[in-house]
Amino acid sequence: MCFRPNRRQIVSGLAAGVAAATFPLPLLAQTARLKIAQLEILSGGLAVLGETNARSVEIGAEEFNARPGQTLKLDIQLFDSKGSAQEAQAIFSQIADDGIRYVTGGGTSAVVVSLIDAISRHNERNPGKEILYLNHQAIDPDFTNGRCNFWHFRFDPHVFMRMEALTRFLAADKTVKQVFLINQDYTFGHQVQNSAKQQLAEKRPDVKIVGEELHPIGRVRDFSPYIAKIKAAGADTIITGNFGSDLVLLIRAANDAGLNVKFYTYYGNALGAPTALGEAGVGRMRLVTGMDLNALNPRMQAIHKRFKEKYPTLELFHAAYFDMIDMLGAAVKKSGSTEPLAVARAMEGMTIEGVFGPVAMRADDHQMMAPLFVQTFSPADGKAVKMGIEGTKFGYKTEAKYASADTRLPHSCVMKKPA
Amino acid sequence: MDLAFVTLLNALSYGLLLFMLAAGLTLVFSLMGIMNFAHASLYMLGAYMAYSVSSQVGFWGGLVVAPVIVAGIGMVIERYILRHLHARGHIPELLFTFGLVLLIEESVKLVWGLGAVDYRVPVELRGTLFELFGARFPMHKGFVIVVALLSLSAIWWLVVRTRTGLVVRAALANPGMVESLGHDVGRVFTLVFGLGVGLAGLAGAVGGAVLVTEPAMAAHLGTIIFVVVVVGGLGSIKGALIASVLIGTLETFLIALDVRLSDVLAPLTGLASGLDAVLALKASQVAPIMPYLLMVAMLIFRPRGLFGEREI
Repeated sequence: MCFRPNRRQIVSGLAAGVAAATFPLPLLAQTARLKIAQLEILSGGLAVLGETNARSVEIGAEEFNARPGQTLKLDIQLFDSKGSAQEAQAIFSQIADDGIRYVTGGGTSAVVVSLIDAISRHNERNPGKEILYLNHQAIDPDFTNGRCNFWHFRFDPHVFMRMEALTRFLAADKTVKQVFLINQDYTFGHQVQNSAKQQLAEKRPDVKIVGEELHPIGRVRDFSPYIAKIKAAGADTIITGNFGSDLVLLIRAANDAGLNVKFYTYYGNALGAPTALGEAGVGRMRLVTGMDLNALNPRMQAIHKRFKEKYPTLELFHAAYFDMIDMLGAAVKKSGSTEPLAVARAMEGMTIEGVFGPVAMRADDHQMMAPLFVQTFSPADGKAVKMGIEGTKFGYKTEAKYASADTRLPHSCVMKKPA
Repeated sequence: MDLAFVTLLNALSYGLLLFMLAAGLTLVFSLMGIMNFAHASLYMLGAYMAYSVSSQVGFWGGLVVAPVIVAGIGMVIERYILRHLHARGHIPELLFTFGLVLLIEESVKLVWGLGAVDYRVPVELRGTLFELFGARFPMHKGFVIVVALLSLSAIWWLVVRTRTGLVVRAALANPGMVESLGHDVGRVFTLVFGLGVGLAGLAGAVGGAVLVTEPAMAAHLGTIIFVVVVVGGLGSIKGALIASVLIGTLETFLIALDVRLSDVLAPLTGLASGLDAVLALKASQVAPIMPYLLMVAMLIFRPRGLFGEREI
């Protein structure tokens, strides 16, 4: 493709050149300001998730900026993606016009796909003005496999890595004999279902999958017909990626029907699930997560305290934001620049001390390797379970920790890197 | 056998919850000709009110007070806004109730937050009502059925058997004449609207506790109750009852079935080779769209619905 700059671009290019010649680029001895556009779903049914992401990053950035001797100041600008790819595109044009060079958040897979595409197109057409995408939550494995891109970095272990931790734990539990898979009928649910089948077959071929259900996301009001089916299938364990009301209603229906099975979930610690569980979930609800509230280091304790003071109704349930902020800071320091290209190169292959141990950014696919935990719902006793969540007397007890290397999976990414 | 039995009971409980909502909507429509888009939002408001009130005076207090508050809000809306709009025809009314949907949703988020609130049935209702063929039927589902049947009987008694009901029906047939006879027709309309909305509030107080109380709950049920009302016939309470149970049963049984479309439509598969992806769907996956298909079919073949008196 032939790139022909229009007049405006030439003028702005000249202006930038003049500016660069007149004023030296910000040296990091002085304070550098780095603007990050954060897109979250702040309206609609998933707003509580977007709100939690936004507030967590806000507190994380606040803590980062306030560190003694800090020369880099993060300036987070929040946008409502409304969970729509179209809206995200409109916001992206605005971000690009405003000269913001970093993007984080996103929302659903569809939004993230559209953002990755938009950024890759933008960066091809605007050399020197590249935008870098720091993905803290969208865990579709495709983003660091088939759809991987140099300008996209993911700081959260994806669906298959989480399933790896979950099935490792499950495989060691000899009481598990019959597993039922119930998931939301969209990409994420399908990925949970397929990876569960595949990884269980590898680790525990004796375990039988007695049923699989895909239900429409967010539309089922009464799960009791599904529960009746699960009961009839004779399952002793359920694996589900459900979240929000889909998980809450599933749990409630199971409790009502007296279904005595173990639940292995992805989101059992968030969005109303702990509230819905109550006493009935103790010992039965398991979770694979990157967040361990029982093992917070002093820095995370301070962040957690501040978060709960400022937003008592929200829950800090995710660790990737903080590893993302730290790695970004480390990459700026290492490269001595806030230019996305230099920062991206610095992040490739970088290892830092994350909130729960060492985390590493794999250079080949830009996937972060971070520790994962398997936890069980238990009463908060101040020892094994440090605190109750969502204002309940219950929290999650950590059963197993998988270090970064444990859930390192092969990838299929073929990445084109800038020369 | 046990699966079929439990499924039937589940269907009945879900269907009757839908009915409580649809009854209020269809009542207001049949008596006043107002299509209230915000009906499901008032259901949500009922759930949140019941949550707030019950934290002070207990679940049963909330169950009584919340519908009354919601009915009060409904009456104020009718008296001071809808009445003026009614004179200008249906479009301003529809637009107003549509705006109300957004207004209530945003207000709920502002007041009670974005997440689900911890509103649940009390301990008395958490047990098992009975156990048959090894399957448990939870008490709160029985409770939904009882409340729905009680409210149905109460409406029937009020509209058909009392003097007030007589005036209401007369005011509908011929408002001018009833007014001449010295009845306050305006007040009758306000009361009817309050009653319909109060029913939504009651459904919310019950449904919020049994299901989940969150800002998205109105949107979830909002569409399905319109299906119920259209299938049952606009303005027909009997139709709403039958359509609710029908739709509840349809959805519930399709989930329980373990067949794929290709099994049912096996003779046709040769004809439609391009439809493999559709045919591979399980009955449980298509269950949620069945009510909407039913509505479309109903609009094509019998636009007035099962028991409706007027065409849409």
